[in-house]
Amino acid sequence: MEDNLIVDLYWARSENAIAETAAKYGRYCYSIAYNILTNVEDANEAVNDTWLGAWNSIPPHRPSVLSTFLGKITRRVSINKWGERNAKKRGAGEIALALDELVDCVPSSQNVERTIELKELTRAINAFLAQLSETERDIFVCRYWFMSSIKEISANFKISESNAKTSLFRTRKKLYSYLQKEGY
Amino acid sequence: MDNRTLFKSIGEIDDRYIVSAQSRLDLSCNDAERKNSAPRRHFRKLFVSLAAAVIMLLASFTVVMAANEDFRETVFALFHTPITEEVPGNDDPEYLPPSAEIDELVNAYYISVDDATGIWEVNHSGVLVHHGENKKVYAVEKGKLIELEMDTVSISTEWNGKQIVGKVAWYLSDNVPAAFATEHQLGNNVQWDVSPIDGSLDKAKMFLYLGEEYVRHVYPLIIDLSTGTVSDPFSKADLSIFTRIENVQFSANTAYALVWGTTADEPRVRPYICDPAMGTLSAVRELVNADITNAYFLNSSTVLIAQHTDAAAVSYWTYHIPSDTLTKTLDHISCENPISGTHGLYELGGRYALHISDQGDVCAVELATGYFSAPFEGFSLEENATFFMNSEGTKAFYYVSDPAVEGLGISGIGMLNFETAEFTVFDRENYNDIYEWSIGWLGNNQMCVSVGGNGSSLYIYEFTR
Repeated sequence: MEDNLIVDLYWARSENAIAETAAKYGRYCYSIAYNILTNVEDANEAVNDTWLGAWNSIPPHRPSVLSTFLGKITRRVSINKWGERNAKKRGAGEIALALDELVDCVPSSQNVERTIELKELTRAINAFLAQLSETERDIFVCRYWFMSSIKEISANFKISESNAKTSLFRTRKKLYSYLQKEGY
Repeated sequence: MDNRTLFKSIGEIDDRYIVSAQSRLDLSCNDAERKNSAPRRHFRKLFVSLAAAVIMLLASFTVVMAANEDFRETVFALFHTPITEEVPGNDDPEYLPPSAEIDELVNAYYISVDDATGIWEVNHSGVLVHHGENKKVYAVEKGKLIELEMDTVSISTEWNGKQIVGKVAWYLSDNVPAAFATEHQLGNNVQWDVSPIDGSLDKAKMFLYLGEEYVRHVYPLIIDLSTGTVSDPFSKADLSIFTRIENVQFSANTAYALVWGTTADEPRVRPYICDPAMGTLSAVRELVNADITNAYFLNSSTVLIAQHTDAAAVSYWTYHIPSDTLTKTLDHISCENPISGTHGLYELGGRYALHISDQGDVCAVELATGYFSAPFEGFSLEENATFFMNSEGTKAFYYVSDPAVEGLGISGIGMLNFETAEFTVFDRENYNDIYEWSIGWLGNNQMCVSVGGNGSSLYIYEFTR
C-alpha cells in the first residue's frame, strides 16, 4: 500500500493503519531497533512502541516521508530503552561505541553550562551534513543514525573497515571544528 | 553540550539524509531480491539512450525567472470572516444544531453519526466511508449523507503463473471513479490492492505486492473498471533493470508512467519516465542532469520535477514528454520549513506552493511556471498552521491547531483556492470543549472534521467561494 494511503488510514483512525505499517515497515524498524538494542525481545517491544507512537502522533502529523518518521520514533524509543537497560547493566551494543566516538565531536567550550536547544543543534548538524560529500554523509548517518557497525558499513559501501573508520574519524573532526566555530 | 545531546540531535536530522543513507544500507534487500537483480547490460542500454536524450534536451533548456509581471498582478483576496464559529459540543446529539452560516462564506453542518455499527472515515478520494458489516460510501450534500452507488467487477487473471482472483468495487465521487478491492485472493506470496489513477475515468491501478514485509516490491497492472479486464501496461518496457519497484504513478490517460525504483547502479529509489506504448524508460535525473528528489504528473503529458539540494534549497523543472522539452521554472529557492519558523518555499505536494519571505509575507507560487503572486495582504502564517491540498491540486484547506488542546484543537479553518485566487478563513471558539481527531477533504469544496467524545459527530464546512 502506498504511504499516503497508510497515512490516510491513521487519520481515519482505522486499525488497518497499524497492520499496513507493520507489513511494510516492520523489518525496517526492527533493524533500527535491533542495531541499538541487540536483543530480539527488546527490539520487538521497541517496534510495537513505534506503532503506538505513530498512532498517537498521526494525526496531527502528516509525515511526508513515512519511513523516516517511523524510523525516528523507533530510534527514540530504542535509545530510551537502551538507557533503561544500560542502567541495569545489560549489555552495550553499537550505541555505546557510537556515543564514545561522538565524544570526539564535542568541543570543550567555555559555555558548558549553556542550554543547548536540540532544534538549533539539529539545524547546525544539518548545515554541517550539507557540506559533506554524499558518501561521507551517508557513512556518518549510517553510523550515528542507524547505528550500523563498522563491518556493516564496510560491506555496504564496499570499502575496507579501515577506510570506514578513517572516513568517520575525519567527519567527526570536521564536526568538532564546525560546532566549535558555531559556538557550541 | 555532551555527546548524548549531540546524539539526540543527530536523531532529528533532515529526512533526506536518512533516506539517502538508508538506501545504502541494504535494509530492504534480501536474498530473493538479489536473485531478481537485473544484469548490468540492461542498465548500460538505458544510459546510451539517455545520453542522446540529454544532448537533445540541452538545446531546449530554458530558465524562467521566478518573478513574472503577469502573475504579480494576481492578488489573492483574503476573506477573513468577522464572524467566529461557535463550535457546538457533541455530548448529546439532540442538542447538536443542524447547521450554521458563517458570514455567507461558509456553511457549517453538524451531523451526529452512529459509530456503534462501524467506523466512519473520510478516505483518500474525499468521500465518507462507513466500515460496517458492508462497506458503504457517502457524499455529503447540504448536510445530508447521500449514499453513493457502487459497481463491482470480478477480476480473474494470471500474472507470471500466479492466479489473481477477486472483486473490485468502485464508485463515482464528483465524477471521478475511486476503486478498492473487496475480495482478495491471498496466497502464492502475492497480495494486491487497487487504487484510483488521478484523472482517469475508466481505469484503476492494481499493485501486486511481491516479497515479504519491508522488502516488498510492487508490480503495476491496469484494471478496466467496466469490464474487469486486467492488462500489463509494461509488456513492451524492460522493467527488469529495476532491482526493486517501490511505486508507479500513471498520467491521467495512462499514456505515461513514473516508475520509482532502485537499479543495480542506483541503490536509491529514483523516478524513471516510462512510455509504455514505446517501451522506453528514462531516468529523470539524467534528463535534468541533477539528483532528483521528487516528480509527479502535472497533466497527461507533463511532469513536474524537483531537486532538493543539500543547502535546503529546491529547484523545479517541467518536462513535456512528447516534445522532449525541459524548462527550469525555479532555481535554488530556499525551502526551509516555514512551520519551524524559517522562511522559504512551503511545498504543498502539487503544482502550487507558498512562499514565506524573510519579513513573513506569504504569497502563492505556481511551480509549473515559477510565477509568484503578490503577497497575501493581512495574512501571516501561524506556527501551528497546516495546508492540505485536494487531489486535483487546485485548492488547499488550512487549519490551525491549538497545541494546548487535546486532539487537533482546531482554532481556525480556511480554504485557499489557487485558481480563483481567493482565501477564506474563519476563527473558531469553544473548540477546546470537544475532541477533534481527524480532518480531511470531502468532495471538492468541503472539509470534514471528525469529533469524538461521548458522541460521534462529523462537522462539515462547505465553502461557497
